[in-house]
Amino acid sequence: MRTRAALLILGDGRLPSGGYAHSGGLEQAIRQGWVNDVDGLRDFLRGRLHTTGLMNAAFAAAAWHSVGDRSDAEARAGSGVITSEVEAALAELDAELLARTPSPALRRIGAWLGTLLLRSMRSIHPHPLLEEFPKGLQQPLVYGVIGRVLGLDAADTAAVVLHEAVTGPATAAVKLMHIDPFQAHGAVIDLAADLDAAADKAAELGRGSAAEIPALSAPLSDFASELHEGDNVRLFAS
Amino acid sequence: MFDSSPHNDETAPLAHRTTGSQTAGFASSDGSASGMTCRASVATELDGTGRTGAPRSRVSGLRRQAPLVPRPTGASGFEPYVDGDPDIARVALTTAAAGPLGGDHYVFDVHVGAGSTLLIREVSATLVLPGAHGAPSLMHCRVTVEAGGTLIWVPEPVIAAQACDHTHQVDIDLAEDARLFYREELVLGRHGEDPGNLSSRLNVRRGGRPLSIQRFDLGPASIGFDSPAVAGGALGVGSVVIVEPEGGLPQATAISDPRSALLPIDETCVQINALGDDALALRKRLDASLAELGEPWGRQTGWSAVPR
Repeated sequence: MRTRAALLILGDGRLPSGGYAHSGGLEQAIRQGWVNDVDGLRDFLRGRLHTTGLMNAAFAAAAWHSVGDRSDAEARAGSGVITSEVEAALAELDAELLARTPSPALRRIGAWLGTLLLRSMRSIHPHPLLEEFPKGLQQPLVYGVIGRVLGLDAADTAAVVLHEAVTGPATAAVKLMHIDPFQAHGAVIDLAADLDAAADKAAELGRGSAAEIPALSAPLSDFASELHEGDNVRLFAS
Repeated sequence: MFDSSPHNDETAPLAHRTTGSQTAGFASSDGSASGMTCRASVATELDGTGRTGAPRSRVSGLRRQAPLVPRPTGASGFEPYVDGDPDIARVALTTAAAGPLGGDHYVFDVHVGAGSTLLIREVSATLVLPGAHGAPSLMHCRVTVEAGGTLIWVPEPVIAAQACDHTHQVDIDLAEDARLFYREELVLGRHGEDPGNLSSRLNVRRGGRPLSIQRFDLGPASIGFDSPAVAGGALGVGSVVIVEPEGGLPQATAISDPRSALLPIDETCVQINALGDDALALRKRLDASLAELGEPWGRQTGWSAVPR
């Protein structure tokens, strides 16, 4: 079954996609004293999952829907798999996501992580959809097209984004504070049911119009990313 | 999610109790909800020139339906952007009864005509109460600002009393060169009270394109809202959105303390977000951010008997 292995590879933290350099705002949250222990980490992850995590996953699912069913695209040698309609839909999604991301630092990071992810996946798995995919779009939209390319469904594509949203900070936590690495992963496992439910919800939200995707604001995450940019001593890029 | 289509009640003089069918998808599913449906509106237009020779705005339409009662008013205190200008239209929104209560559905339409300027303030904070059945309530503000128009809206806080389930939705459609100052302050519970549920949705679009879209889902039903990734233990969540088509807004983030930030959206738009341990702390942070932004949007003000 092609999609199961593809799902695991895409969600694997060892996939060289650039995400390992980011703590999802956790480093600054620890520096500010907002997170001090494993309970704080668990709360942090839960909050992230249900706000920006779910929103970004919904945008990934929306991009997945926008790209359309291109499973036969590999067979096509020529160009034109990303039509002008698809490109316009992706641009609209990007604009809607940017309007929901008030922090300039997070907008820059989102575009940079999207660039890195697209670049590495083009090398890992060359595909016309990836070749023609517009540059500079936010990372969740890139996950959307990769989900299509690897034959994942919308909910699994969303699940990868949600997985990244919580495992990124959880593994960073071990390098940022005195915390038992087993407990850090325990915090993620505790969220398993929430992650699954959020993936289904994101797939549902991604089916509708881009304007209807809820902007699930997380002000402390915005503040953390802005504070972090001004911080000279830092381990993670965000 | 909610039915926001225009209701055919333009001529209805009084608010009426609704049945489930009129608020389909909105009233509580047990069918026991009896909410108030209420529509009010304000419209402005240009009306010749004023005493200073500058264009004068006037209120060209005013629709009141208790408990939402907009009233023309005069200048008082510091006013962002339009401070003391005698030629603009001013309206104070008052609520003539308690509410919104559970099951209530308020619609407030604002239309700022081409080139005109409207300042909206409120007489008091909005206390959202659960009503007898704790049914969902909705306040939906639908705002259009036409070419060259300016809307300055400085509402008082929305306070989510225990057990309420309130959605506060503000949709603002701006023309390409429209100007906006919008402030919102959300407070979780009255003093010492456990908060109710409050979902505040602000959609600012310009020329049909998304500009600043925020949604704060607060209260016990919103998992993780009190987490260190979202609002922490803050009981006050607020924001200001400023759109100035002539530019001149800061293009770099300004963080005066770790729980508030002025964030540039683009050359003509900034957004301020702040949190506070209570309503007062939130207000002080927003005021401080605006004072730092400076004239004409904010001013360092001392104590005053006139609020703001």
